Amino acid sequence: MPNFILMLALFLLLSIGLRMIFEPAFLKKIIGLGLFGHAINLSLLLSGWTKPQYPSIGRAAFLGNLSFENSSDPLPQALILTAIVIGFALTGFLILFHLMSERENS
Amino acid sequence: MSLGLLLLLPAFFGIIHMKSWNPRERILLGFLLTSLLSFSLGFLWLHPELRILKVGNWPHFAGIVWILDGLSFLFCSVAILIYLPASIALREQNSSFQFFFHLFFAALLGAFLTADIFNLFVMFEIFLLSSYALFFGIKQLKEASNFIWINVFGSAVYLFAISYIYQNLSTVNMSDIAMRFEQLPMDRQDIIFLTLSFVFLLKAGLFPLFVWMPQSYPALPSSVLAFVGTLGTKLGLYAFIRWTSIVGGEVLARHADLFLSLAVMTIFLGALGAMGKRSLRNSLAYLGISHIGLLLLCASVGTTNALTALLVYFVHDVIVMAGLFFLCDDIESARNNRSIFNRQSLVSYIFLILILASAGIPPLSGFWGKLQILKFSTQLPMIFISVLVSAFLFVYIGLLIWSRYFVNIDDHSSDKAAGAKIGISFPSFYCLALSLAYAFLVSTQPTFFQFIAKELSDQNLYSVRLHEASINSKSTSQPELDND
Repeated sequence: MPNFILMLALFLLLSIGLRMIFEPAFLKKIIGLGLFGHAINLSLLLSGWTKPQYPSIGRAAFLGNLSFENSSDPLPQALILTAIVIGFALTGFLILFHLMSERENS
Repeated sequence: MSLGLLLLLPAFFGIIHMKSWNPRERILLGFLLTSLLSFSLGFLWLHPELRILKVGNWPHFAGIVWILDGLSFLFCSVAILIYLPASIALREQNSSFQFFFHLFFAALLGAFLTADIFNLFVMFEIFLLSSYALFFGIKQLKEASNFIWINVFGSAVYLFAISYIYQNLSTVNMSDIAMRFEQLPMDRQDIIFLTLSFVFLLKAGLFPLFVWMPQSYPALPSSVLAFVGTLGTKLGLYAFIRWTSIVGGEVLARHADLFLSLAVMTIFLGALGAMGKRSLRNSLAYLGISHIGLLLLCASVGTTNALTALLVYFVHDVIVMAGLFFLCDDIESARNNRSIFNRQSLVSYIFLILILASAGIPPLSGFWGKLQILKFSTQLPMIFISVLVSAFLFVYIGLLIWSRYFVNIDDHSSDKAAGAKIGISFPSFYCLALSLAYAFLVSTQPTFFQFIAKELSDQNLYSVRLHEASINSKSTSQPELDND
């Protein structure tokens, strides 16, 4: 069931984001890109969504008797983290780009 | 460690370039970087056991892996060969421009060397961000806007494809994908293959997807185009070749008709664009698209002979197109000053030889690639005819462009006014010499390319090499670690 809710959220974010990217206003484009990025991150999260009730392996594994069987896959989270950082840099760059082109026009 | 040098040195030199050197010192730095990179590349060629770099020495399925195989060796060496004249042509640019230029180069080498499909995404992003920044530095923002949004969209699709791959194969390592891909049901294979191919062909500039490219080209100085425009699209080509060699010939053969027809349309639409455009760099950009179509034609056939032809043609194409773009600034600035080059001038001869080489006139370098393409396509009449027709079309276009930009001035009195004062630039001369040397090399020794193509089409070799290397590395890479 949580899987279904996440899928629904993914679909909503994806469609709203796509719709907003094609808006003419720049700020709406940026917000749409952000929503689109969240949809991507959700899909990456869902790709490793095999055992959602367990935490991923970390130092806690040694303290709390976790083994491979009762821990979830940490790799999608690393991928999401990288994607978030890149998306953040890209958003910052695009806003700066917009400001520069505004200044060029005026 | 030598592989690590290849990855880190360009970015490191980018940081060195942040200081305000004068143009002469920048040339020296360019020579230094080229010699260091080619030295480490040659060192790796002599030591096969060092051609794999596992970060942290973890096993390949758990860590980040970089591999130098035949294909990435060829692409890296071509990138380094073109870097030298580009760094000389760009010596006058300011330091932030130099930094992004070197970052671009670093991302290019990184993408050629990575063995991880997510790392390829990261390298694509570094590459794209630095090329946006190159647009940004030139302050031609309107033209860059299309380029940026199209590529943002492409990256988003790429990430979706990665998440789908991870869900189905639970790996992002290329050799593991190659091993597990055949166990997937057929429809999932198709979804994964077509989505990622869409992304790579978007970057390479195939038929419906190349619209963004020539629009954004006039924004950049042509010496940047010689590097960004020729090698940037070839990164997409590299990713597509690597991707087809990972998923194997069966999946490619299922969709070969689609890619073949798109490639043929790319060839002819690119040629039409090159004929129609009035500015030189736009004509050259469309000519480049047309050649990309020719290369993708070989890639979508995908047999060993086709891959050999592709590699032979690819090296020639990068060298010659870079040489033409290096000449572009001189010719256009002469045209803007209401003067025009004489047909008997040296620039005119260099331009003519380069553009005829790109068309494939027999003793020049383009001919040998075309010959290979015609050789493998004797059983495929559609490809044979379209390549033959396009070869004649290219000769016509080359002569058309040449006659448009160089005039025959008979009386010597007007010759002085005709702007013959601009000396020939070293970069284009370098590319000409390289192209002639390459024509000689490839006509005498084509076996090197056959070797690489055989390595590529043997799908298992990639993963087998990885496993062999992981066995070897237990004995060999231990002293390597101590050196660090």
